[in-house]
Amino acid sequence: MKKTPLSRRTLLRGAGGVAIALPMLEAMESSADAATGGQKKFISFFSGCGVTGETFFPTGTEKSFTLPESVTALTKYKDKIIFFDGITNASGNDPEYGGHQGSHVGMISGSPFVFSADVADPDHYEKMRPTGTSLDQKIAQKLRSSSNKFASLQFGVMNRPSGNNFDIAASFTGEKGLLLPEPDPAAIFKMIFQDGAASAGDVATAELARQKRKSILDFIKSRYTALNARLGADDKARIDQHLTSIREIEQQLLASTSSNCMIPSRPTSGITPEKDLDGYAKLQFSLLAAALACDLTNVASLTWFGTRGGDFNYKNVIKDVAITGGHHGLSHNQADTPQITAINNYIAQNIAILMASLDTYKTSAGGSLLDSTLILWWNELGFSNATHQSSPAPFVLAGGNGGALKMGRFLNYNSQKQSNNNLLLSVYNAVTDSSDVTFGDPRYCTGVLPGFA
Amino acid sequence: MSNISKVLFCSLIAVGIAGCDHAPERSKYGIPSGGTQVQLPSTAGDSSVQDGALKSSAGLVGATPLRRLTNNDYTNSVTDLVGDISSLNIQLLKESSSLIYPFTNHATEQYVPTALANQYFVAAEMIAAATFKDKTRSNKILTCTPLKGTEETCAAIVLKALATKAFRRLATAEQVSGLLEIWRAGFKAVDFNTGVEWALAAVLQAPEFLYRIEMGTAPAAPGVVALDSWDMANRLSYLIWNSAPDQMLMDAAKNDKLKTVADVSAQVDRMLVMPGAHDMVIHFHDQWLGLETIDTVQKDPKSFPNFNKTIALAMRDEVRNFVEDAVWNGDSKLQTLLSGQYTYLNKTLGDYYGIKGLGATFTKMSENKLGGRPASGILTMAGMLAVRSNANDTSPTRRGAFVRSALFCQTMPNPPDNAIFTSPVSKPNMTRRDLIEAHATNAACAACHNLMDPIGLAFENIDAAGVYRDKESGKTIDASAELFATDVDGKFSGPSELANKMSVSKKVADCVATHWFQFAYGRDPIASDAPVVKELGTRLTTTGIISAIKYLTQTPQFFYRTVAEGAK
Repeated sequence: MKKTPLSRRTLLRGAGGVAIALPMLEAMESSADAATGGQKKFISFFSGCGVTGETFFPTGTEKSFTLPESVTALTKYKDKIIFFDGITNASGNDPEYGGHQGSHVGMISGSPFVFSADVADPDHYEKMRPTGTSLDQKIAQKLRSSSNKFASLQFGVMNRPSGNNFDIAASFTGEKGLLLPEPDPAAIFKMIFQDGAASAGDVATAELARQKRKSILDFIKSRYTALNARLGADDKARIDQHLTSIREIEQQLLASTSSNCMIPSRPTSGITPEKDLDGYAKLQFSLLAAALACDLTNVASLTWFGTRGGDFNYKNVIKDVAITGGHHGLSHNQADTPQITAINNYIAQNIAILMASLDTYKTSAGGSLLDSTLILWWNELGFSNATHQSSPAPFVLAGGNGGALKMGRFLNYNSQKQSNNNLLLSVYNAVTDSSDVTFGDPRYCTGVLPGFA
Repeated sequence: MSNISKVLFCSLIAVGIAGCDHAPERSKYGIPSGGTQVQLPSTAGDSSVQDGALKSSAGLVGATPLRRLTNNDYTNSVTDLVGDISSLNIQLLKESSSLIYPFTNHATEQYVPTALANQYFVAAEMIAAATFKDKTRSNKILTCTPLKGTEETCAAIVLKALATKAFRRLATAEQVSGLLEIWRAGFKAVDFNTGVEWALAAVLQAPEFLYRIEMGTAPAAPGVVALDSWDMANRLSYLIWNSAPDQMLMDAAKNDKLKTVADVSAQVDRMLVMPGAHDMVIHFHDQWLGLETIDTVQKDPKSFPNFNKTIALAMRDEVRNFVEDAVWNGDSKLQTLLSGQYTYLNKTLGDYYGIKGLGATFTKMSENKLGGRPASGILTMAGMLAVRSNANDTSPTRRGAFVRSALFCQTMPNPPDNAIFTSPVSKPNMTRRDLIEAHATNAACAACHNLMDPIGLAFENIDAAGVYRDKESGKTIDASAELFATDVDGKFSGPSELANKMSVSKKVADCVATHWFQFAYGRDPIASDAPVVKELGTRLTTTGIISAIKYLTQTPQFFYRTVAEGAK
């Protein structure tokens, strides 16, 4: 991929010849180091359908531990990772539905799923909806800065939103707020790097579009505010939300782009996960890293694969173990443990690639974007084959928290089990510099993980 | 003059006058109309709908939530304002609906997430730009010619007229001055027209455009006010046309001539004979019968190699043609809709069903010409049944659930937590009926499935892709079925006997009345609405569907609104 640090002029035009919002000069000066300096970033990396616990959880002590077969691909970054064991999926562990579906939203939000009454589809799984807010969205509410064009971004790899959307949702705000991953690199590129004034690429046009949008947005905001003053509570709630949404798009439309980013070249169409999973994933990672580096957002989630539908077959990319079926199918079969192990090590290898991608954005202080970006890798099935249950919950932290969290550890809570809510709370506090005392459904939360911070 | 008022103009003047030749027979769905042969009911002598009677019931009006334009209302309203926008391919988020509330207009469900606000923004910019790329379009908005030095005076005239039309009531000074501010920015940066273009993009996102804001007038009961004539013009046009008021309604509102039953009734009679009313009736049935997404239905190509999107859309047109005829040209009764022994077919569908000799346009076909295929109104429509089937097999459960929810308004509970969702393994010679009997033999399943499966089995002669069959797995189809928990319980066989039962069911009449109530008022009926639902049900089955629609404009619910606590 071609990457060039941007001059002001190139930045205005974007790599694909598209205009980016103004004003730029102030942005270039004030946020010179915003992306790679102190600003913390967070990535929620969800890969569904299970790990094999026996080959996933390390052995050893906090400082001296061995990486088992499912995660050997992360050896290179061992000192930038925290492994866990003994975390229960307390709020996601549904006794009836076992590992799949539902448990993933409980796992990342700390609040169980419900069956929505509003969904007409007779498929039982299609009715499942989260009740809480996912960790990334909680963090996004706190971490968004005025220079961000997006509060958060959702990336996908092997999951086109069709059919059952619930099982690919890694980001959500309550029952009606599924934020679906966008798996198409071209669509992501268009959304994050291509300003609406795409037809003309010069500074004057971009500035004109900004003026126009500002005057329109000022007017409609004042109209909604005026309307709000005369409404009863129920109507007001809906108009309030509409107004919030307008403010949200205002940030997107009027925000400027950080100077310290490198915009990747426009993805070529036609690449698919089926044909070239390696290349496809790399493309999404590079767009994700650029979105963080360009300060377009501070928070992203990535759904590698959902919990049920699709059933991706890895036979084209995993050669040392014979892959005989899709990941979801394999996760139900005790005899397929070696295949699940190989699949997870392949995913671990991709996490290493994402980390390398972040590491290419160097700061003037000698560090990189990787040091200020914390990645939470999670999966709803801890023992895919033996019990098909989600505890212990496979959580892995990678990257860095701007120096504020000691990495390179193995935190084993098997002697004093800790809930996923406790882990979510600990990560939330660490990334947002908060000192909250509970997270998600408080029934499942007793406080931060001992010895974490 | 808008399309709608143009049609009206032509219908009032003798056909053949220059300019009227091109008035569209149908404005939207392309279903040929046989006109309106249904006798419009007169309100004279109906004591229940006199002004005094309405006012004395004003206190019974339920909550009146603020309504946002549905995506359909939005498209129609924009089209009325600036002309056809179909080439712009405007995308708006899919709206929610459910089996028991099949319409997309549930006011308290109408939230605007960021994605939709963004779509409204993008759409407004696109529509405004397209309008000012085309002189014939922009000239309709540019109602005065700017002279050097007095541009702003002219802009104020243009924007006041634009805001009045788009906001569907007289624009206020505050609205016009806000729009002028936008215009000034565009005028300074580029030119006069650019200023108006920017203002148009703002108008299309203003709450006065996207929402149906009602002002009301004098209190009529505690917490209840009578609507003003502008409110009434909007209620009439969005109910009967799913679109903005035309010039005649706007004039009537300006003259405050929409506050009595007599004035409203005269407008309704005028409105009902226009294409927008026919479109509205089709739109109701598309949603009620779940046909809006029929183009996304897929069938297993091994089992159903002839099924494709063209066929699916033809199936939808079959229903639309039938509905158009049953509602507007016959006795207009609900019973006809449920049991009419005819349908409409064209060559595409005829070839698919195996019925020869049809032409390209849809023609009325009586049941005895369908080669054994049963015809019982909407109940036997291929599209309706194909939507409620699986990809490779029928689904008596979903078909039964449809009858329960759409026609009896009964909510089907969720499966219990320990339900098993794997299908029983099919063996050779097993029929769908054999397979589904697993539900009946398992007590945990039977409790609910007995409400659905035994009804759905009546439709087994129509397969998952909508084609008639008399045998399955070598056995003659058994369409025997049974209704429980209704007011017309008992055994029956096939759709026509089901239709006969439903035609005499008070619950069915009440349920369809409930759906019309939802469609018209954007909410579910509550206890105090019961008399209106009852009267609607009576009209649906006696004086007919058009009579029921007219009645929807003659209720206290239509003339009055509640004012929520804290609201001004």
